[in-house]
Amino acid sequence: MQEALYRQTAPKMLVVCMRYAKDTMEAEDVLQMGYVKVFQKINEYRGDGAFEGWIRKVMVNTAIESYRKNLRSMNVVPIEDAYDQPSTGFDFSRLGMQDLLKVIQKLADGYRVVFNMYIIEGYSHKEIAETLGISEGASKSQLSRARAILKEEIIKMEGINYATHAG
Amino acid sequence: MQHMQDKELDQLFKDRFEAAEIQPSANLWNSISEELSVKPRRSLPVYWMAAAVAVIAVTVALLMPKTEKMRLQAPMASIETTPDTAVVTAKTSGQLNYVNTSATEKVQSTPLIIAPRIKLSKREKELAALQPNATTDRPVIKQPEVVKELVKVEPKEETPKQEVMMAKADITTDNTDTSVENEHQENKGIRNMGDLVNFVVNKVDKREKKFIQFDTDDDNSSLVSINIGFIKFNKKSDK
Repeated sequence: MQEALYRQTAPKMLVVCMRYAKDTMEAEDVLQMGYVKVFQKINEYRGDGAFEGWIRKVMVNTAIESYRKNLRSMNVVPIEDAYDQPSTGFDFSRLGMQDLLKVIQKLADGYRVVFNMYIIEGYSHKEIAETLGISEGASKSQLSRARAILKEEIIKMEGINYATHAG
Repeated sequence: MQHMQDKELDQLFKDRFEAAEIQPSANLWNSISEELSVKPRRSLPVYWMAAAVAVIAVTVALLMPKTEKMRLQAPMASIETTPDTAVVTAKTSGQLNYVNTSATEKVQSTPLIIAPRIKLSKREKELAALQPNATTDRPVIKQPEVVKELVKVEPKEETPKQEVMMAKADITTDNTDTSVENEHQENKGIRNMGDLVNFVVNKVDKREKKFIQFDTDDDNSSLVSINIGFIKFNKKSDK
């Protein structure tokens, strides 16, 4: 019963954990913690909304919790001057989920968490600020930094993809 | 379009991650189910505690008013004397009954058939089940010691010159109170709700000051001590 539920939902939940983690190992640690919580709190599920959505929420919370615990002394962010690179037309279709995962995992922890929470999970800056114990301004600036870095990386990648395809 | 727009970027990530799946390591489920099977053991004592608390609440509600009434009506002396006689009569009547019934059984049974013997032993069991009231009841254990105490105290007062007797008497009189009390706490079986609660609490709580204890000397239980962290109550230490 529990195992069936796990088998059915784990692949999707691992993607959620991967987005928040630096690598697969860290992601699977979070996935394990998350499922232990899911099965321990399963009677707290009130039946409103999709069950998978509830599991996802538990996973996201576990990932954020794990990020906060691991928060290294100052969470040093590499100061790259991210800039908008001009480019002529993107062909996103060649960019797969794995590519984006690679890019997102390269981000500094703080950027990654804010980007995930705001863009994918749809939290507001206020909620992010409260959850992470930072100011709303910090949340906003981290998001714009994260976006800039991601764009840069994607354009690089796109260039490589394009080159390999063309050549 | 020269620049990648924020919206574009956001949408790209949303789309790619929405229904994406990655298979976790094959052994991950095993670690999860292992972790799940360990946790429930920890929470078990909590259920025991909850059960004990429920039993205690009912017991206190049912038995507290009764004991108060008993104490108001019955003076201490009569309590001490009545059990002795009661036991004697109970014991003798029990034995008489047993003899009578076993005798009649024998008369009824035919010596050549084995069946009556089984019937007889069955009868003995039934009688044995009825016996404890007379044999294992508290006053039987207590009785000799009370008598000893009385016997040894009297010589001490009347003939103080007998030094040996006096020394003995001192030791015994000092110890009788505590030893009687200890025997009470250890030797008695479960006779009422107070005993049941004490039994459960003893199983769960190994501390010296149990989180709840009942005095079950009289037939009804009275609360002796509570120790639930912030609430501490001890009848004995109050005295």
